[in-house]
Amino acid sequence: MSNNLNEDESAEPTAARVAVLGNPNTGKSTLFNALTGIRQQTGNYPGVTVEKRTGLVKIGPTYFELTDLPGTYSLAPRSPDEMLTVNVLLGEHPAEEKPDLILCVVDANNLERNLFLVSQILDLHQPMIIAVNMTDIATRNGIEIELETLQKLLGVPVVGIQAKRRVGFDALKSAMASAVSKSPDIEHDPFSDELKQRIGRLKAACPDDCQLKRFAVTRMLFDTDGFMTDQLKSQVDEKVLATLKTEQEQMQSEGHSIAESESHARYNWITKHLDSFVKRAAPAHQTTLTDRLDAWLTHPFWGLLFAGLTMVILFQLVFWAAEPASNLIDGFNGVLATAVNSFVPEGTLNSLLIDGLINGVGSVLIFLPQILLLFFILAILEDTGYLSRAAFLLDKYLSRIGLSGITLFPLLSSFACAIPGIMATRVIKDRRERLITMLIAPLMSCSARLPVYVLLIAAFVPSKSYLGGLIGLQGLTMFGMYMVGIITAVAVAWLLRKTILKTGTSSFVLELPTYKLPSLRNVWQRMFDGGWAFVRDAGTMIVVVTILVWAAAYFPQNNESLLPPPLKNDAALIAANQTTLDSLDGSETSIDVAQLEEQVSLAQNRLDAYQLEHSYLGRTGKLIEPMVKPLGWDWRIGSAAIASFPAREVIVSTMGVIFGLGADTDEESDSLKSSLASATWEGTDRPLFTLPVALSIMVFFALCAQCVSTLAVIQRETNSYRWPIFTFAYMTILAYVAAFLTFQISDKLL
Amino acid sequence: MSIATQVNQSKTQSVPLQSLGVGEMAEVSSVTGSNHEVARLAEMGLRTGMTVSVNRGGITSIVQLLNGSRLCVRTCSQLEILVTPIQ
Repeated sequence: MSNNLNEDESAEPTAARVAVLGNPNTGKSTLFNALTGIRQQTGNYPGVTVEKRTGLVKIGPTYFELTDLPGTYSLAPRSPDEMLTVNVLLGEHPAEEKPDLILCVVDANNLERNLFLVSQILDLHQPMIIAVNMTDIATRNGIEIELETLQKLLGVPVVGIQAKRRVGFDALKSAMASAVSKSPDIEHDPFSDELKQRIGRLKAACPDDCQLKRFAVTRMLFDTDGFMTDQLKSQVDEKVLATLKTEQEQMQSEGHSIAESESHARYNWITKHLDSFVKRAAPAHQTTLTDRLDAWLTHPFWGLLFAGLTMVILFQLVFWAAEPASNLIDGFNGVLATAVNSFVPEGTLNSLLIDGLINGVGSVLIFLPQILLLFFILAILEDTGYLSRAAFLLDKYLSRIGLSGITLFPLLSSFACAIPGIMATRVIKDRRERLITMLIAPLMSCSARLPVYVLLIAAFVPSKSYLGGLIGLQGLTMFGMYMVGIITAVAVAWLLRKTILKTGTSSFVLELPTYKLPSLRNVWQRMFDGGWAFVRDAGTMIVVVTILVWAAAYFPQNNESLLPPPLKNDAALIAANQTTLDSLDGSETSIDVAQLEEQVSLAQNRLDAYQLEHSYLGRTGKLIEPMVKPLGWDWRIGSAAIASFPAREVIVSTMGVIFGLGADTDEESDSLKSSLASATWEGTDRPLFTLPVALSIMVFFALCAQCVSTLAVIQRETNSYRWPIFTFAYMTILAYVAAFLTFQISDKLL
Repeated sequence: MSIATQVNQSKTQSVPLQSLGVGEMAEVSSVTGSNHEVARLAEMGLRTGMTVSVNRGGITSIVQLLNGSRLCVRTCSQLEILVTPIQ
């Protein structure tokens, strides 16, 4: 867990544990961040994807530990993630003690809806206070809340606050200190006599030593799909379950919908009392700023135009604006490598430090600017309330291909890089939808695939053009590669929804909050949390795998006495002249020196190629050659593909080494292109690289999960190893089959 | 059939939510679908008997509830919201 607590603070005994709860968009996180400041920790609850955020707030001489629970409209759990909140409140969660106080944050502008959750929490009959947030906006909208009346009605302290401006914090802290261990003054009673009798019969069926309180049996009565009952059945006996079944059947036979009974009861109670504490100075349906903005931003034409511009800007910023920072990090890696080179003699340790560790850590940090920038922009879009409008506009189109509007932002980000794209799926509240989006995001052709496409298209796709030069075959091929990923993603999403991630419905519901200025503190916190989560969790796996691949390519080292004669000569040439070259200060410009440098460089490249061929990596390439031959590949292409599994962009430099040009080649290198074009199958004159082979390599790269960083992030975001393993497996199989078909068909046709 | 009967019938005739146009108001006459979906909508305030107004119509629509909440809703064959337009 990341820990911003200093030793004194974390050692201080906490006076109370406070669970912070509320509907989404009530400013709960703003309040949490404002109260706890930098004294926060983030981590994961075991077994679920919910992030655990705790923090300390000092009230007087003592510390209160706040736990920020996920925003929710209801305490009716329908998934393990939602059950977490219920378990924490009941004190049933193994990793959390029962809270001493519940702090429920409600929106002053929408008390009617927010009080539904309050009503459910009151059933717990646990110490609770209510923070009515955004009172300034309510006043501007002509809404006045009589807090004392509400307090008397609910029997718990009610405090008005403005979390962004930190108004009302003294009163809130004082209320928190007083409310700890003080149960509500009155018993909350929203149900009709008939429902009260049903709940009473369920309670009576519980034995005296039953741990469940009224809250749990009430939840079971209104449990629409049996999830809650299933979770709690080990704590209740058969008599309770039988009574529950009888009561539910009776309700249905009397024409009462179980799904709506609770909502009807609670909302009727709220509506009955609302006028006693909500006074409206202005008409209830006056046009607000949100209405005026929505007239444009949800307009079928203007709204879509604005959404399109927003996405283009997002894409450009993540793709281009982060580049200088990434280059800076890359440059720093180079400086570090040079420094290591000057202190550590050439050999295994030098290679481990530079090619393994610095390269490994560097390959983690190089993504950081993109991730930070993406989280920054998404946090602003979400905090202002705009993101849900964009989701609405795009939903109409995405629903036709089985996705919903909110998935577009993470998928779009994945065209730059799947890592921030997958992390951006946090904006998707529906668990299954979020998982499906995570599993298809790597299919978007990211920037790391571009070098492969550029190299192979330039070398092997004819530069023909059509329609008077308007459309080029090479450009069309590049577009085709992007479409391969997109079409496959749509198909995979459809298949997942029909099989292992059945959603059972293609409906979509999303609240559109009122527009507001983003809280920079929130934005900063989300940006920091996202970046740190990536470095801490995904970074470890990336570094480990990079070192493993380094080792596979490095060992076993060439034994000079066993080298073939031409390579022995190369080794001798290097040994004889390297010292001389190293002693030169770089100012010498004679042709002899330049020629010597070139000869030494070429000799080194040949030795490196031989080393790679006989390393564990090369041997593995030869081992899998029979498997990759149907794709049109030989062991060299196979080895390069294996080497690129941790990070696909590595293939270009690996192919440079394999084909004797050294690791410093890139996709623009003419010598690499001509080396590939002239390469033949060993022992024959048959060209190795043809157009069908180039297409099969590109299709393989378009669909394969060759990015350990992506898999590490999937593991981190799902809190499970199952899904990255599944992603790796399905994408590798898909890539192999697609590359096979591409080669076999195009080889016959072209 | 008398005019009064025809008027009453047209008043009570329920139509799918997505058929309403911008600015139209209606009373939710039924929400049918999986218990999960119906309950979820009810918790968010969209339930039988509620009055809604349409801010944006179509397959994916924006409806505004009396309490001011705005919801983006896309129904499907497994989730149907029928409403009675209010003249």
